[in-house]
Amino acid sequence: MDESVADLVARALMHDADAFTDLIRRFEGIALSIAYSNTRNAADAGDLVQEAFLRAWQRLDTLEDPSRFGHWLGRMVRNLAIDQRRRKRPGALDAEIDIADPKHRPASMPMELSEQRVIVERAMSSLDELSRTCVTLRYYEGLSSKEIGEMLDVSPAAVDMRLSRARNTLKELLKPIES
Amino acid sequence: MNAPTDHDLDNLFRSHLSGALDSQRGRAIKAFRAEVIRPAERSEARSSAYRIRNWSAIGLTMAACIAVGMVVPQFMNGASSNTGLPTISPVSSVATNALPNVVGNTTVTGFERTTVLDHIDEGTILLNNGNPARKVRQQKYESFRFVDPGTNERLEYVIPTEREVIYPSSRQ
Repeated sequence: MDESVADLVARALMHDADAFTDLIRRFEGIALSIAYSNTRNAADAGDLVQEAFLRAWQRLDTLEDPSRFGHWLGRMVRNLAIDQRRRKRPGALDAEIDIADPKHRPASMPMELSEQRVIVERAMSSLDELSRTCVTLRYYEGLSSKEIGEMLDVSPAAVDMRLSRARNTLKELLKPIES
Repeated sequence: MNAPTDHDLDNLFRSHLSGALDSQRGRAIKAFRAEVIRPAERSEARSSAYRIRNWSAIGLTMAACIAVGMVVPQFMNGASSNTGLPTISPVSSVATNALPNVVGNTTVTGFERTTVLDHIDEGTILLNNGNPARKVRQQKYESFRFVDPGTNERLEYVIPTEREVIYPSSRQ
C-alpha cells in the first residue's frame, strides 16, 4: 500500500532522502503544471520545479500540516515563478514563438499539427493564470475539480467554470480552421 | 469539417501539455540526487574511512597492550635478576587509567592518561647492505587529563610523537 503524504513528510523530516524522492515522484507533475501555467515555457518550468523541491527539502520543517505538502509546494512554485518573472526583462514572458511560421516549425512536424499547437497555445495564453493552472492540472495531471480546488483554494464549481471557459476559448479559436 | 466535441478539445489540451512537459519529468529527482543525496553519500563514505582508520588504531593499540603486558614483566624479571642491571621502568604505549594520583603533596583528582598509537605502513625500502626492510611510521598521541586542584578546572595535555620503525625482512 502507498505510504501517505504525511508519513513521507515525517520521514523526510528525519532526513530520509528516499522518502523525499517519493514525494518528488508524487508531486512533480503537479509542480510542473503550476510552474508551466506561470512561466508558459517548459524549460523554465523544469528549472523552477527543481529549485522548488530543493527549497522544500531545506524548509520542510516550516510545513505546518504535512498532509498539505502539495498545497505548500504549489505556493512555493508560484512564489518562485513570480521572482523569476521579476528578474526577467519586462515583456519577455509574452514573447511567443509562432511555430506556424515555417522558420520555427520543426521539419518533422506537419503543418496541421503545428497549427493546432499554436491555437492551443493561444487559447492557453488568453486565459488568466488561475484558469490556466486549472487546465494544466486537469489535462496534464488528471486531477479532479475537487483536488484542483483544494490545491488552489477555490471551489470545485469555480474550477469547472474555468475549465468550461477554457474549452470555449479553444473552440472559438479553432473555428477559422473548421471553415 | 465538424465542430470539435468537448472530448476533442480535452484531447487537444492533453496532447499539447504532454508534448511540452513530458521532457521535463525526472529533472527534479536528478537535481535532488546531485545536490543532496550524492554529497551526503560522499561524506558518509569519508566518515566510514575515518572510522575504519580509528578502529584500526584502537586495534593496534590493544595488540600492543597485550604484547607489552606479556613481554615487559618477563624482561624486567629476567634482566634485573640475572644480570644485575638496574630495573628500567616500562614506558607504556597503550591506554591506561591506573596511574598514581599524587603529585608532590597535592592530590590530583580525575587523572586519566590515554595513549593512541597509529601505524602507517610506508612500504618496502632497501637498507645500506642491500637487504629489503619494511618502513613503518608510528604516531603516538599521549593525552593526560586531570582536575587542577588549584582552580578546579579540567585540564588536558596532548603530546604527539612520531618515529620511524624499520623491520628488516625475514628473507635471507
